Amino acid sequence: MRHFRRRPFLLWDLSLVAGAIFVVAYPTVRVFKLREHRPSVARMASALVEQQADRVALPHSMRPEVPQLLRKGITPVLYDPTRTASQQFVLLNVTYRIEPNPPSLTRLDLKLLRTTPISPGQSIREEFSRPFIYSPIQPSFKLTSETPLERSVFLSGGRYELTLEVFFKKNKPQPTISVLVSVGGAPLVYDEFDARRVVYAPAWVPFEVLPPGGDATLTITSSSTAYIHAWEIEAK
Amino acid sequence: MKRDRLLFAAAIAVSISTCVVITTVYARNIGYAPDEGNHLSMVMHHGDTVRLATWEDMRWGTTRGHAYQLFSPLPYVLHIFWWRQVRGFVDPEDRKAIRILVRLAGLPIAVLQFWVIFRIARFFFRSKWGGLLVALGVNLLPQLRYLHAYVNADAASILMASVCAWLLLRLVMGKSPSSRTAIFVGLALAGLAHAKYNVWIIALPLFIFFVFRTWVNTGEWQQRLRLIGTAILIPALLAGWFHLHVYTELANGHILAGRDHQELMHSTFEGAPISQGKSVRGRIREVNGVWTSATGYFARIGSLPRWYRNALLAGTLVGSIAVLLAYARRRAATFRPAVHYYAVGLAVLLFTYLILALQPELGIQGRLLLGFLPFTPVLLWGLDQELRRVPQCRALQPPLLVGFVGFMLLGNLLTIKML
Repeated sequence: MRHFRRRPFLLWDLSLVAGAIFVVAYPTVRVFKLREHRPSVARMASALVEQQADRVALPHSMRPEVPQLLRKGITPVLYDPTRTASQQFVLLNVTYRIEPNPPSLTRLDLKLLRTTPISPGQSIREEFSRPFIYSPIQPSFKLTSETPLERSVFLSGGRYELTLEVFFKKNKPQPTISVLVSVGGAPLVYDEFDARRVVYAPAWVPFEVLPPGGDATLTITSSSTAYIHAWEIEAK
Repeated sequence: MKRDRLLFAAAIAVSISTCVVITTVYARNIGYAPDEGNHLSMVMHHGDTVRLATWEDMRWGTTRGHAYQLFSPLPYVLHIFWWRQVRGFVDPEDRKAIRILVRLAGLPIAVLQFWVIFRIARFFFRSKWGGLLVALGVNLLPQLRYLHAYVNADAASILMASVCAWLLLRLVMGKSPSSRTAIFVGLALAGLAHAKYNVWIIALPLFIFFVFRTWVNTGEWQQRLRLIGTAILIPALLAGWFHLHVYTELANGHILAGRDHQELMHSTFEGAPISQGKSVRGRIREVNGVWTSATGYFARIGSLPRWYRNALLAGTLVGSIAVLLAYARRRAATFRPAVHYYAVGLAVLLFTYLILALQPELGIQGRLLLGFLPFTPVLLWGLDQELRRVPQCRALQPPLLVGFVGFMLLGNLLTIKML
């Protein structure tokens, strides 16, 4: 007590010093942690440049490495190890994947992955306007009555959900969107809905494929011009 | 004496009520305001969770083309608190009802803004009645009523800037920095660090002036470090975590607030191929920097006729010179260091103020008020001082002040009629 009476600001000064140490130390640790994979990703990027690869699948947890890869001319395709189905890499034509924990580079056999079923909880997704989340940004897919969107995927037996982010341009007529999923050439599910001006939540079409499943075709058409941000199929 | 005090309290109550009523009428009657969907998304997000928003949270709807996840929740804190209390009473599908209900949380901001402007005005006019009239006139500015009437981060940002300006003026007026001042400056800077970046233009002079005054007025090294350290550490602790979050969001190559989202916005809402010219124009207006933003916003009024702009420019110059003269003659020794800063601020203010006051329709131009509004009483005080020097003008003072308030009130009434 006597000590504080002699130096009334002692506690204040100690707090300032402790606060200053925290303010410097905490962000430093945080930023270093963000960059912990930097050297290993740099080595992998050099290997990819040697292999003349221009795309690589990168786990979400290693997002801070995106600018580094972009600088080397390699486009990272983000994936979630627990949710992204292997067919996603076929869809985006990615031949290399960086594995997390510990970071390592794997070459992908797209022919094999083409027929790998989507496990429950996993999904495949194509995003047109923002294919890799970061730059480059592209116009959304333009859907007209003459130019439908067609995609082929492999679906084994099970329940699925198709989600669609579709909108139309202002001062244009509201289009009706038709969704058709066929398996082995036979129509499986058909649905219609009106597009909105702005996507507040994706449109949702559930369907079930009987075993053993097979090659499926997704066909989306529109009565007038509409635009698609993205579509996604998730196995339930 | 007691009667005068009661009369003044009644006048304050009537003035604040007038602002509140006009704001409420605006909130009820105006349609979808600029970017209001994005601001509402922030309120909804923080209504559900205290976690800072990320890109994934702002994935759908109008927020898609913007980077509102890089905004702090602090400017929305009243809206968030209000929304948490009332969300059970409204149909979740009725977006209009939600919008109007959430807007009402802007009313306390309007009251606080009135009070801060009143304190600044009273400080300069040395008269509570003069201060009240000026505060009423400034707060009746239709664009300010509009900003308080819809959900946005600008209203709270202007309030934080006003508090900072108030502190800055106290420092300028010769109040010696103490431990209390250091804490207030630290808290004000922390608040401003959470506000929209346009108002940071006030933070730098406040900090520089505080350091300067502390250095000059305090002889002891330890005391200097203590005061300056407090003013730095408080915002570092209270706002640093938020900026670290923004750094993390930006460091990983996400869509940036001011770099890429114009393209995405066009892709989202237009669907058409992106025009380079349109994209560049968008970037000029939305770039993530204080100075470029401030100048970029002025580009929005580029369509005004040349003669009109020239008249405004001439008015700005004359007004600024009048203010500077007033400052220099009153207390030259204390004011001179601040005069240069004010000259810049006031020139922009007068220019902005006139444009805003004369804007026929409410819109995004209200953002021009950011940062400059707190200096309105200073500007009016300067003009008042100059007019007082001329004996013939003394009689004009009361009608001018009343006319100023009446003009703003009329502006609001006309706007309400148009809504």
